[in-house]
Amino acid sequence: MAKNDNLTAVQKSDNEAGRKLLHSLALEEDTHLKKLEEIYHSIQNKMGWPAVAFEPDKGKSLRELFVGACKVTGVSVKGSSTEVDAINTAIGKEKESYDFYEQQSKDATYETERAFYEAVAAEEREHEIILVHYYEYLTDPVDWFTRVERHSLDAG
Amino acid sequence: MTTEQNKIMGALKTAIDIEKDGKERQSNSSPEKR
Repeated sequence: MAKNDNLTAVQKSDNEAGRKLLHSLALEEDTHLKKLEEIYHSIQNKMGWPAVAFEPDKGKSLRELFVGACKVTGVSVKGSSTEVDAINTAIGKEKESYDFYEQQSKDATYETERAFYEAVAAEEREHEIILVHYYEYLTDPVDWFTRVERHSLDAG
Repeated sequence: MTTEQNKIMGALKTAIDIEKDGKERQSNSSPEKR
């Protein structure tokens, strides 16, 4: 997609849950970026994969924030068709990222490289799952709340 | 730089581009941008 066009609707949305979620996702993408740049420069200088401290919380804080925001907004949430389409596209992008990192972990030369790519892949998977929840919440909030009350969001 | 190191650097460059794209996409939807 044209990078920013489809998400304009989300940007203009009054939907606090969505804006909080996407802001948190952006922060996590920024952490990935910083770690990747750190590794890149280390390899440039030392010709080897460095030990990198990267211990994601497996989506726990993201899920707590998202569910909390959804509870505040409740079932009266309104998502435009453009906003829903944008979330759908974002889900596809997260899946592409997951597939890329998963492949890199399989092709890794160093154990630290494999572990790093596996951790990032797991976090991208969490992003995909939480965006699917957001999509479901936007399109059928009553059903989404019913299912979340029955099963923990941790069940994915 | 060896072929293996070139492959690693190439993958890292792709990953950096993916994250920059993702960060930009999500940031444009954040409350701070409203």
